[in-house]
Amino acid sequence: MIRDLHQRLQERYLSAQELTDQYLNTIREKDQSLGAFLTVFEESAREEARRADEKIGRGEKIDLLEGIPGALKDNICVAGTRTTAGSKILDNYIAPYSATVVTRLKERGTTILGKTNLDEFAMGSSMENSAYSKTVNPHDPNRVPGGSSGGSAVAVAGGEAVWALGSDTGGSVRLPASFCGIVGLKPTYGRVSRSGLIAMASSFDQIGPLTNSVEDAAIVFSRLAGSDPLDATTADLPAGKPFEEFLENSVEGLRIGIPKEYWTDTIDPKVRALCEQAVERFQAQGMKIEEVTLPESRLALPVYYILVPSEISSNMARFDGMKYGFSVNDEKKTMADTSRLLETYLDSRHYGFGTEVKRRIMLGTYALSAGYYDAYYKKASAVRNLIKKNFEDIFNKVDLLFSPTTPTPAFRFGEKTEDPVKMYLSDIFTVTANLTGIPAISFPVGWVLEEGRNLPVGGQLMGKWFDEETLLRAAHAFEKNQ
Amino acid sequence: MALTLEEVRHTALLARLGLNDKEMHSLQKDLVTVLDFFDELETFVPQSTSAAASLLPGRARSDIQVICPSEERAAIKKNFPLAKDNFLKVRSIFSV
Repeated sequence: MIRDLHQRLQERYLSAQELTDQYLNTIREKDQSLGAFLTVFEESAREEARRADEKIGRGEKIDLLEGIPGALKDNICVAGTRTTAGSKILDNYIAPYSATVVTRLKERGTTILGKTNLDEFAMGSSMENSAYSKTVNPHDPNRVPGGSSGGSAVAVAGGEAVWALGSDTGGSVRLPASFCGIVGLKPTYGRVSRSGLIAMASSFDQIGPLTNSVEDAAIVFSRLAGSDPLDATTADLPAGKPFEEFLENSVEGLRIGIPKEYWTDTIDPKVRALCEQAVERFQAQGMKIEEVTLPESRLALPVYYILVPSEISSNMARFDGMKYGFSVNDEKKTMADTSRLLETYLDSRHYGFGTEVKRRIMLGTYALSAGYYDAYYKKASAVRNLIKKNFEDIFNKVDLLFSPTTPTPAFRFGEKTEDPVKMYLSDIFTVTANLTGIPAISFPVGWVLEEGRNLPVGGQLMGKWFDEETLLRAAHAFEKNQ
Repeated sequence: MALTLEEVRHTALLARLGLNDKEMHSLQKDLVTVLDFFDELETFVPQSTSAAASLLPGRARSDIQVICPSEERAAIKKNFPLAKDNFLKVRSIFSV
């Protein structure tokens, strides 16, 4: 889609301003019911489009993403604009600087339409934890779009943006991509800078694109990737590799592992059938299929839900009502008539945070507290290393791994909110990529009929560290022959 | 696994998280459910006690002083809940 739009812009069949207006109109028409956006940048988007048109008017060649309208999850900072992370505690927060990904995209002349809704601080699998609007699945408004980058997924699937960025800590790009029938890429940890991304769990978070096709994901990803001095965890790899140019290389002979621990009875039979058909299609394209075993992966979800809340409890400590964000000490009160320092912390956090954030802060604090650290955090860290070792061994035998992205298609609102473990189980196939740092992509493999509605199903390919090229190539080959 | 209300209250204080009674009871129930889910880890005996030290890429950042641009400094100050002159105003740590 991006390449086609680019060609139409470059050849002047369409102006960037017309394209942007078209998307701004769609947002105006549809977003009241979809609820994807928290903030729309009408003025700056038009200005960015005007600049792209000027360049085209001067006969200059524009970048593939130049003048192509997209959206950002609202935990990615854009200087001078409101950035809420889906939380009331940041209701009035104006970002003082831009995330590296935003700077890189702006350098390419892209058009940013606005900021999208998310589960509070990206904590959630369903989009039922935002402190703001309700975001619905474009294929069935009674069902969740998936979280936590649900606003970004709905913006793309609902035709309100060509591309969008999300963040993935345990599946938050891939899961909503799967539920909304689009493509979602979680790059290797360290491939894309996290500078300017509001942290949830720093050793897991990674920014990735949500798009209509694998090629579009490759185009956006190419413009994000690369080492950044502002993020010491980025790998020392140069920016600017055009991943979209390698998509047509042959996939024949690629070895795809099917981890038997992933293909359990918990998978909805219709989802399973579609994913089995996908395996057959990989085979028909000359890829080799092999059953593999990842014995420790059964521990991945409990390990994830110990380590991530532990990092959350630490990262959320910065929201204390003192430096920025919501505070019980607002300007109307004087220092003399309000409470002590401890009460400022307790009350600001009590009123500022929602239920899931509080739950995870509590879990993390408990897991890190004296007497429980060895039993939980230390043990979970050791298992994380073991799981990573499992993956290192398996990637000596195969190039990629394939599984469903989620055990079920999109579920109904309220179906899992009463039981946190039931909700956490939605992430069972996605968390290992974040535990180990490997790249993974979700792409549509078909549709299932549920209560009279067609719902999309996603398949997930996981690849070797920093080998997004093979991952994208295999997913592209599948998509092309669908 | 059992978790007393007193343990929930103590953890909330450690987390500097104000909770009302309803939240305390609800979190007590939720935490027990999630901690039970972690039981599977009990079957695992780690061979090594080392934590995930080598898991992630990364390098030490050079210890270079970077001056925050004045516009960025002004934008940061605008987010202060309370300020006086050029300073962030905070509660006194010690009561007199």
